[in-house]
Amino acid sequence: MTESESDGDSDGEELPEPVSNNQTHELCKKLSEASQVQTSGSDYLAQELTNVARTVVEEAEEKRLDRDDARLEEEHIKEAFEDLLKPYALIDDVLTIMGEYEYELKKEATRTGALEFETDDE
Amino acid sequence: MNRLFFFRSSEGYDHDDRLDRLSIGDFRNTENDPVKNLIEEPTGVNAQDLTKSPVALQNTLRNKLGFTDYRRFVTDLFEYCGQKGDTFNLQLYFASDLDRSTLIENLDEHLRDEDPEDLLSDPVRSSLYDCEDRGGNIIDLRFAIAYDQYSDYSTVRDEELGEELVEDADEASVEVRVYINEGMIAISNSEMDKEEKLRIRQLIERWSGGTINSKVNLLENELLALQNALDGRNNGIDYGDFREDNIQRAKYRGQREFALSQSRVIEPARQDGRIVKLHFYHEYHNNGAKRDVLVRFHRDGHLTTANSKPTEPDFIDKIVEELVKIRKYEEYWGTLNDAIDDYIDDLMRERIHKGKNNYRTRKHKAMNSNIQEFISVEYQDVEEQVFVAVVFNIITDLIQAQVSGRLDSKTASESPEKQAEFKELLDSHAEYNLDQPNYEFDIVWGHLHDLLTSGDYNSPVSLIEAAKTQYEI
Repeated sequence: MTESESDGDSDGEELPEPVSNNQTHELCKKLSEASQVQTSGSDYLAQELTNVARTVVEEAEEKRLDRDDARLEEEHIKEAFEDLLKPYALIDDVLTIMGEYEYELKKEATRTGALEFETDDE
Repeated sequence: MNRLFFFRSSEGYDHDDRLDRLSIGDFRNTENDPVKNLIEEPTGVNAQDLTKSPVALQNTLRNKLGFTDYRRFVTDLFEYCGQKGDTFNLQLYFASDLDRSTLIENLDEHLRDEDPEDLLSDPVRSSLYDCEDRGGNIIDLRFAIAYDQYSDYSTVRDEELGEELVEDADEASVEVRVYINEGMIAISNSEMDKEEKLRIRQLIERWSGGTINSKVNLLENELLALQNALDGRNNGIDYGDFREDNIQRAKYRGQREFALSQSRVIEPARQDGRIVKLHFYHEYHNNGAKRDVLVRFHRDGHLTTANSKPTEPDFIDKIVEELVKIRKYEEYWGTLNDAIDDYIDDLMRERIHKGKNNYRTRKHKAMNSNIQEFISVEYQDVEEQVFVAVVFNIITDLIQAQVSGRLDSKTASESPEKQAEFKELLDSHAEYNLDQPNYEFDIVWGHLHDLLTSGDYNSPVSLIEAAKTQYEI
């Protein structure tokens, strides 16, 4: 029931396009040192950013419905983003843990004199 | 039994008080002179009697010695090895501008020379029945207060041990110790009605011309610094103020000789919350003997040894002395967590994946590694965060004071542990919190390293004092 309703919404109305081609073009020019930026490239970026935004809002809407909230809250959007980036969170977790292990292991290896390591991490 | 603490020395001990402060071991130990004499002299008591059960032993002594000699023996034994003093249950308050002579004048005027029993129905302002000038800095007061002034006196229980703290209906006095120079007030019987405590504070304010802060809110690192100063062996931590607000309180209790903070069970609470209460054993020395006293200290200034071993008031004096010293350096107890929280949102705003918890973990580990590497003091695991806080706040000082000059002592070439993480922490702190984006990491590190490795610090306070002297900060 809910699904068919929301399908109907997106079919029937044109979605707004929150990311403008001009703005992505300006951004590319600001961040890149190249003298020229291909317009089709910055257009593509705008399109994909819009896709990301739509995906996030759809995720967030599911969270809102799950919790019976009347308003779409900042929390819903934040959590939707976090879900989208979950694989990176996992990488971050593992790197943090492994970094600690690496430090401890190097320390132990150097202490015993069995192995030689540069302990400075820079 | 009247609950006494500051006035015990003037009241003395009665027979039951003495028995309370002796253990069965004291009676059985033939190396205790009074016991030795008892066996050697023709009293009829023999070594065999000493092995009897506690009740049977007391009966035998009473029968063989007779009433008077039995009591005299208990008195002698108590003087010889009894644990002098009392357990306490106090509320501390910070005060300022207390004037000694004004207070003494007012006390003279308000002191009632009547039996305290007759003052019970009087308001607290006219129920002062005892005061002692302990010389110079300390003045003790005693008010008569009817026990119905205690809120729910019969239901106040020590939640941890399940025993009643207020056990007697005839408990009818409240004791107050005023520390003039330190600016501190200790009020006994912390279960007393709030209104009544307020009236006592107002009374002392009026009589001394000073001000007493109604709220005590000790920082978690101040609690830990106090534990450190008293060489307390931690065996209990309560956490509160969690980032996640669905949980209010988490309490952990350890085995007596186990470093609680080494348990992985408490790690999540440590990362997400704040310490609000500590339990620790302090080795209290008295009368040539020592005993382990369990101290429970809450951040609201509530301090108790209820159900543990007795101490004399010199223990509170010591706590007050240390606490005042700790308070003096309030700005050094702010936690690393709080400093990171101050900038983490700004720092993460432009990052797609925030990973705030991992960030905090990495920065904490970097600080911890440097503390472990460069501070040679003995401390308990749970106290590491105090050293982290103190060192981090000294770093703040060094950055703000814009210390300059490379130190060329040979050790200054030693790099910090986890340099990349450590430098990133200082960079962000300097940029976002201190508005000093152009500070020089190498120079700050050189000075910090020199400070950490050049002194022999036995406490967080001594480290702060060394930094302040060296850098006039």
